[in-house]
Amino acid sequence: MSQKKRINRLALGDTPWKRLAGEFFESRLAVLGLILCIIILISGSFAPWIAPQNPYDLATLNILDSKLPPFSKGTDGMVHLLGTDEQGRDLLSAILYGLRTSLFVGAVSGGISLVIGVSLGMLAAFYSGRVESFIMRLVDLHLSLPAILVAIILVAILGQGIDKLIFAIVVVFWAGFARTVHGVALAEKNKEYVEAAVNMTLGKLNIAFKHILPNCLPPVIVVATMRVATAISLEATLSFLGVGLPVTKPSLGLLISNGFDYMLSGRYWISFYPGVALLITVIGINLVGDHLRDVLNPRLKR
Amino acid sequence: MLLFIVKRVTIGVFLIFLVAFLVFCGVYAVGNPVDILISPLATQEEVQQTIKAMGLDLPLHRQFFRFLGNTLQGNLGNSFIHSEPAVDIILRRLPATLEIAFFAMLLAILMGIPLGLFAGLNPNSTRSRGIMAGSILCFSLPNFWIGLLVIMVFAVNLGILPTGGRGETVDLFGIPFSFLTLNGLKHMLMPAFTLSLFQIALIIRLTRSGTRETLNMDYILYARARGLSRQRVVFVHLLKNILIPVVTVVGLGLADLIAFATVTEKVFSWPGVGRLFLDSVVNMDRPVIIAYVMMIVMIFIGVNMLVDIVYSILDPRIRLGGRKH
Amino acid sequence: MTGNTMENLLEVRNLSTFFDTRKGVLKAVNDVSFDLKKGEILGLVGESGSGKSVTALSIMGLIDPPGYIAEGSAKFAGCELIGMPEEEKRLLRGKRIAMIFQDPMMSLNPVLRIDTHMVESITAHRKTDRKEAVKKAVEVFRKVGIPSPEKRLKDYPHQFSGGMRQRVAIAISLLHNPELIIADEPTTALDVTIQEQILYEIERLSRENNVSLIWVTHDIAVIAGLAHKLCVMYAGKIVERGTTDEVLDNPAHPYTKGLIHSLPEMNTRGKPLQQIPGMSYSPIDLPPGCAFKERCPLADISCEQNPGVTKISENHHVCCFHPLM
Repeated sequence: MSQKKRINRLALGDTPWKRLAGEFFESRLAVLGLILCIIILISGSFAPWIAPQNPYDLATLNILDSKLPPFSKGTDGMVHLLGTDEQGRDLLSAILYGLRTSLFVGAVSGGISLVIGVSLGMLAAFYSGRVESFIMRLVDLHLSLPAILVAIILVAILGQGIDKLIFAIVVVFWAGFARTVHGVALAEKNKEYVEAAVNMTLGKLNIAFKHILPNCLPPVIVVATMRVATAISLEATLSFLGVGLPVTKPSLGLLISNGFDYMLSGRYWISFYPGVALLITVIGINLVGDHLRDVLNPRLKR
Repeated sequence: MLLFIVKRVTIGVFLIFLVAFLVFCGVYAVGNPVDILISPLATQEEVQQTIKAMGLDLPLHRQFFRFLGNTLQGNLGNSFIHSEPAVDIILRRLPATLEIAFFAMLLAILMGIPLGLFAGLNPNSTRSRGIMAGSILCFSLPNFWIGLLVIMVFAVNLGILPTGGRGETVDLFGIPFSFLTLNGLKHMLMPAFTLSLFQIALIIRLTRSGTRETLNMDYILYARARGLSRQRVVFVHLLKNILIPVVTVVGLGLADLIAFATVTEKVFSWPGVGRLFLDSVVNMDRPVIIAYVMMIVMIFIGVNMLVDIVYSILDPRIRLGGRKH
Repeated sequence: MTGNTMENLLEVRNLSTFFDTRKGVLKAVNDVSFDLKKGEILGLVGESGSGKSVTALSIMGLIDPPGYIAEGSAKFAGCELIGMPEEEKRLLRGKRIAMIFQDPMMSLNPVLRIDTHMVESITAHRKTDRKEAVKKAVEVFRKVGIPSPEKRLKDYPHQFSGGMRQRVAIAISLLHNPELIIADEPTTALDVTIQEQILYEIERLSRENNVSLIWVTHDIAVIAGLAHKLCVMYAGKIVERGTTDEVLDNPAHPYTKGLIHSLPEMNTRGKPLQQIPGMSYSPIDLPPGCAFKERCPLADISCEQNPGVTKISENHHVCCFHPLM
């Protein structure tokens, strides 16, 4: 065994990403979460190719097939693994398509609010004074209102539709990102490497986005993963309350909502299986985010 | 301290008006309440009369100032639907929501802190992993769906709890409460539990991570090195430090619960302000929406202030001279 | 081992404390042996990571998973400490063996008042009422030179200066007239002028009360005038031990010599400070043989073996194949 090599390895160490990956894969729960996420992502993205039926195509629906329990055979001989809903839609197909909608809403609204929030948070951290106090007061105002109510009112005012729903979720979420980034960036700003960069007369924006942003990323990543899950949940809740998506393009929330009325009469599956899909999605994302938080938290290092 | 409170109150009042304005503008922008209010058979003249009587013909800013003036006198207008003062309707419905929110918070504290403490003290035990997995579950599950499941299991399949409603109530100081009768308690159990799940999860996580971080502190090691008993180390040195963030979350969580009760009340047909708000949103009952939102904002701001004060009492480092950061 | 066993207050034999880490087993303390007589002051010297603090904590019984004591024994006044039931150990800690930590800022609980710290330290080992305990606290505060003790007892830790806080820690350690005090770099976090005072204070108190002292430090200069005996640690092992005079005047291990020569006082003005070349080993997966061989100017093929203990004189031992004479 070469001594030189050993010393080299010790001196250089692993790259931070490698180390994080190592710690991440140590937790079986986190790996399970990652697997769930991948499965959900694939089945949502490829819904039109996987689903046995196109639930939006009214021509293929037969009202005689409505509210069939799981594993029953429809009039056209198709076996409905998870049963059908009140319109005779194959529930599995509806879930896959609904998943697609939910993932889309979650990812897009999470992404947009991430970009807006991070930009504003960085801006506030770097232009102290009026800009900072304006942005941060806005954030404070925003966070002093309960998210669910703001979303309900917004959607009620704007009307139904995916774009409006995404807009409402972005409005609700950006402030959280801004606050996280602002806090971390402020702490980073006082570190020596930033001083070094300032002494090299690099531009303010250059320093902010090239030097500081990468160091603020860990907490932002955690918040972002969790937020996608929350966005999906929020969308489902709004749809359940009847102010979210239009009935023609059901998301998971709407499917659950539609089945609610039949639940009391024992036809649990119409509401139950879409809920399970929603559950798996959100749990997968949260498991990953949760463990990322532990891995990235320097205060828990042994 | 006094200056601090005065400053907070000023900001709070400003905030309330800002929100009122925003909501007012937003609600103003859509829907014509006249369509809802007046029967389609009414003559054109009657319609005009109603519009004038309600001030709906005035421009936006005039309407807002009129609304502001009325608000300052404690009058938030009459509900379009129920034709009685919006404030009265809200106040009548509020106790039901408060009751369930407080009950839920109590559940969250009683379950969250012990479970979180246990998970933090034994991070590698199977039971702790179970607790944490459960907390992620509570965090992840869309609350309304849990509500549905709980109804399905306990009300439909097992039939031991009622599906919804408030059950028997007993008047206390002229206000009906459910928690005083067994039947009322039975009605409260499911909605309160569902509502509290998110807070339970939050408190578990907070307590656990607080425990784990605090356990690494030198003062815990030092406390043990002084020969203090484990109970003393855990329940005095550890817990007192953890309680500081937990109190913050509990305070803010209470306000959150009141807001989030909207969803729970819909699932369990609980006759609180949340359901009233949802109905009002659907019917575009402007005065009630605005009154409700202003009430929620006031609760939020009040709770925020209270939390800050309690915080400064709990943490001696903050008590003397302003807050850190 | 030399000396009459009966006189020894503490006998540490082949103590090994390991930590299970992701990368492998970290041998923080590896086969460490030393003795301590009553009233004697032992300096435990080494750079950070050499295992000196872990040695101290192992004796205190404060090693938590993933750490564990792999083997060895530590006899305190004839009682075996390793494997002693937790409750018995607790009764020793703070009563017969007291410990003072490095950072007095971190070792006192920020949310508890000083009198709480004092009273709980007393009542952990002696049944007394609060009034009696406070009286005792005031008495030890006087002893360690804290002005107006009655008033200061009501303060929180953050209201004390660093030096005062360390005096509090010393006062706490003296509460039960311990036979042994383990001080883990008690002056490192303090200003140089305060360091002197604290140093003097501890020395005086240990002399007056005939207390044995283990002084853990990375700064050989600090204890040169204080300790009777020195143990020099490197990579978890004691590489040299002997009376302070012998070790400082005739260092036998190349590492000890390097340590002494890198002291600023030992260097001539105008010349660069002498250093020990190379970096300290990570104590995970230590290769066999002498841990210092990579940095040692005298290393040769024989150093691939584990060096045994070589006796330089009656009170001076070294672990090296090439001891400097």
